[in-house]
Amino acid sequence: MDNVLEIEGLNKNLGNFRLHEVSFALPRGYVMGFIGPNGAGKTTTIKLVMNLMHRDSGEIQVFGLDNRRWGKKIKQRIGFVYDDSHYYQNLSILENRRIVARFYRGWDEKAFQCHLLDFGLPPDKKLKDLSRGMRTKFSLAIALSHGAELLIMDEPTSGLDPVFRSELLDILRQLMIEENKSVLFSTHITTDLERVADYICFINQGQIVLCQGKDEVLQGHVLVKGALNLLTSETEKMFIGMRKNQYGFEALTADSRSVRQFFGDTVLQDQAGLDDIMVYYVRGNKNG
Amino acid sequence: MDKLVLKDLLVLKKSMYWALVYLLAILFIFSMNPPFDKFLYIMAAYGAAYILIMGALMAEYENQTNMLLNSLPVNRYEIILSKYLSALVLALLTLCVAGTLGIVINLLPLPLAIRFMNGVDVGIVLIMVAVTLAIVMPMNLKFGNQAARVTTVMFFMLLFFAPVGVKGYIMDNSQTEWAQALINIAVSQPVVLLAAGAGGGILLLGLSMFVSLRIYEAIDF
Repeated sequence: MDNVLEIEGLNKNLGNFRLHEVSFALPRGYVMGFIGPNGAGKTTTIKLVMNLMHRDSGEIQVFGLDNRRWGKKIKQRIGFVYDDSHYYQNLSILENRRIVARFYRGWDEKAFQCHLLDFGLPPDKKLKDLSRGMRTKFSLAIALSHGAELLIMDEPTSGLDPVFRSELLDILRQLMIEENKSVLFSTHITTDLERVADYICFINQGQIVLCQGKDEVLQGHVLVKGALNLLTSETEKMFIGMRKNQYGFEALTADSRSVRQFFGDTVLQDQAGLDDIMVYYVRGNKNG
Repeated sequence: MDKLVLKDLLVLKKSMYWALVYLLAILFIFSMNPPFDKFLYIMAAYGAAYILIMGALMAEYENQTNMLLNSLPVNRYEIILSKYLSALVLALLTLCVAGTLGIVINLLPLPLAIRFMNGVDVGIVLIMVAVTLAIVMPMNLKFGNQAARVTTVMFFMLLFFAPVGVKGYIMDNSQTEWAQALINIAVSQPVVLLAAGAGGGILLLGLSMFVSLRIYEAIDF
């Protein structure tokens, strides 16, 4: 499969935080949800891809090219949306566009004007007078107006209310259907991804925990609920993470067959969501 | 690179009005105040250039645009070189405006007579801007805009009054050998003096650019 982004053995030491041997690949035309709790290493990874940080070791290839050597060429083909607007707040939407558009050879003014209309963005309003959601939409409009093949979005929905998030995700889904772009979408709000992602890459404490197709991830994990007396030190090893209270336990397993064979009908098995998967991987077997 | 320079000009819309007001104010106020009237264009153009250069740096700092600029298809060295180039363009722009204002003021029936701008004014302003830039840029990159501003305001004040002060100091010591030599050169070969200043300025700028590049290339945003 043709990958637009390939990361291999990526390391970065930031003193109090370390990105360790991060490896994953994003195939062309797919949406990858890059999930993990706050401070897991999502933004660091994205900054390394965008050359905003210097890696200690490892390889990053975008469109098959080394991201450091060919940074300028690669960025012509990347659209970016960050968690906060880094455009000029005292300038209007059109003035910001005038600054940014010149940098892209493939700038499509017609597409930009279309996105302004679709997103309901007032062209003459200063960025500082827009809501956070509108600023995110502006970043998206810019990212989608220069023929980018890869969209890199770092927590674009953080700080947005559910209505705005839903709207943004609808826009994104529609664009995916129409334009067949590849997207790396980092978020800690996993429910956003259940609607749009094809792949899930989960990072925690600077290390990739799992990186698979979304359906594979969801089908490969099961929530198990049962009485406390069923638990022994041996059985607990079957679980990735567990929560216990006085009424029983709830745990996540990636081996539902073994759980079924061992516990039979004495436990309940339920489908796990991305949220459950992330929470249990992060918390492990801590009680409470 | 030209896109980055153009970006600075677009960002500076508001500062440009201030710089123009400042230019006019200085031209009017100092034209009537000897010995400052002799350094009218230098003080006006240098001050206006300073306002614009700091305005451009401030705009980047306030909006934290390093993330944006470094995500665009440009190299880091281009970002740094463009900052120096923008400052030079801004200095030339203020010189043009100051010179034009001087002509306009003389043409208008005002109870005010000021001399026209000359090459020495241009040379001195460019040298002063070069020296200021050489200090401001690396400081701004290393210590951030706020810290750099405090130092550079002090530095600006020093340079702003430097031409008047230097002239006064030389005149006070006009009987000494070194002052005589300087006065002789300034009178008979002002170009040599300017060329020496320009050489020093360029050398300082080159060193500053090298340091700024090293600092910027190493930054993790």
